[in-house]
Amino acid sequence: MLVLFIALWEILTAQRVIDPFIFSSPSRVLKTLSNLSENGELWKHISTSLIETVSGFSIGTASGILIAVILWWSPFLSGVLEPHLIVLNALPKTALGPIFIVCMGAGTGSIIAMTLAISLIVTILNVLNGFLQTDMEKVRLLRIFGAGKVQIFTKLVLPANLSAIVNVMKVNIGLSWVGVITGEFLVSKAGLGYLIVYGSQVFKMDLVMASVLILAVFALIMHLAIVMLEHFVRRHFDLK
Amino acid sequence: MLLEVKDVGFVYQTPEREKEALKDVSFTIGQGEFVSLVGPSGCGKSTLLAVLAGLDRPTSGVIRLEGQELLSVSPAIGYMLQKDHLFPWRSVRANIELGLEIQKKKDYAHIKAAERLMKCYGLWEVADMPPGQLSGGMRQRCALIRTLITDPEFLLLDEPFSALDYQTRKAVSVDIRSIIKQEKKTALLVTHDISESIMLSDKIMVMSHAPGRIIAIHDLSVFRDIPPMERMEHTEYQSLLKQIWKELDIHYT
Repeated sequence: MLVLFIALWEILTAQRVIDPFIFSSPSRVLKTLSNLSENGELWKHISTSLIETVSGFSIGTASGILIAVILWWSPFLSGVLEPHLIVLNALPKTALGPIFIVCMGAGTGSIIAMTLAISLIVTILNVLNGFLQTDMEKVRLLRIFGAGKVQIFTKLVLPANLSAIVNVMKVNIGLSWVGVITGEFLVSKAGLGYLIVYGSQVFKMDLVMASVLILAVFALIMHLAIVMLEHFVRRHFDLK
Repeated sequence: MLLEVKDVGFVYQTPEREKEALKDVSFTIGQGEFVSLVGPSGCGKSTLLAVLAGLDRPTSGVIRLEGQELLSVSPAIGYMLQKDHLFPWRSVRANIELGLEIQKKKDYAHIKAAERLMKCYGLWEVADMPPGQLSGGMRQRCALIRTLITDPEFLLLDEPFSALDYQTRKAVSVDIRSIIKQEKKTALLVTHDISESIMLSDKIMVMSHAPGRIIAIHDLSVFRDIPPMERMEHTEYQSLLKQIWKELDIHYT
């Protein structure tokens, strides 16, 4: 299907059925990638976006899970904070971009903050929801054995929600890329988002298409890494 | 006497009102007895078990286990719930050892005791498999061994056979009774099934509609030496069944 699409794209642009100046073409994209690679620019932009995405994803996922654990632990805190989290979740996060730039400067910090703004609240709400939906009869079973809150969490709540946590990570990969690209649109001087904005401003659509292609490849690689993690978790924990 | 329940009452507090679930419940259970508790739906049987397990404090009355007042969850009491609640991410062996891990009793002696029980009751071959591969009967045996291995004196069985089909239920209930008797444990079984209670028990207690009270206690010494499956053929069986049914006072409209 993908091969057919690429072949069709190349043929239609070669025959001028669609305008290669606007839609580029596979051969022009390859040439652009080759030029970027030769002058060393390609890896600089990829590594910039990759580092920002992996940092944002790791910090967002880890801190989101940690905050969900704290809120599960304390029903009082959960009751106080949950309405605020729901409001924050409904807020369009790109609106926070200028605030991050003013507070943290036009650099990597703002881009990672944007990534966190997009992924953190969703992570907290989804993981907390999974924790709170743990079968109460199973909790009762552990309480009968004399389990305290730590044991209920480590023996039941966490293993029962590993599958949900992996699903949250799958969603977070996509959200982290959204955060990074949005952040780079706003502030950066390097990265795939920067290349896309620069390409569109100077009307180099080959550069835009090449950047989108790299973006798709790396998003796919990270998604596949999470799918492998999911297989590992399912195999070792026999989750249904 | 192992367990003494004296004038126990329990009132639920809901935001709208108070609901009296148990009222002046009194009975005793001796060492090694297998006692059944029957009663209409919603009469407070499971509430009584939760109170006896120490999960809920009675609003009145007192519960004594071996003479000591029961104030919270006690390792001397084991509780088998309606479902087996085996954890799918643990092997059969790891499920059985769950209570030992929580109570920090997972030592050589207890691990060997768990192995003995698994060998005795047909779980040794599947010890390292996930519980998803077990039959309904094997799952219930696994849940019982998980309860027994922590060495409770007194077992509370909250309709543990209710999720099984009729034939499996009969076989598993007799199997579970035999394990409890062999391990010399005392048990209180909550059931809806009068016939099952006659088959398995040394004593049957009948509860009234809510708020639950004990309205009759039947001593089944006449069945003492008769194996469970043969009790149905005894002359006393039908009359006892009718009497308990009458005491339950269940009407269908």
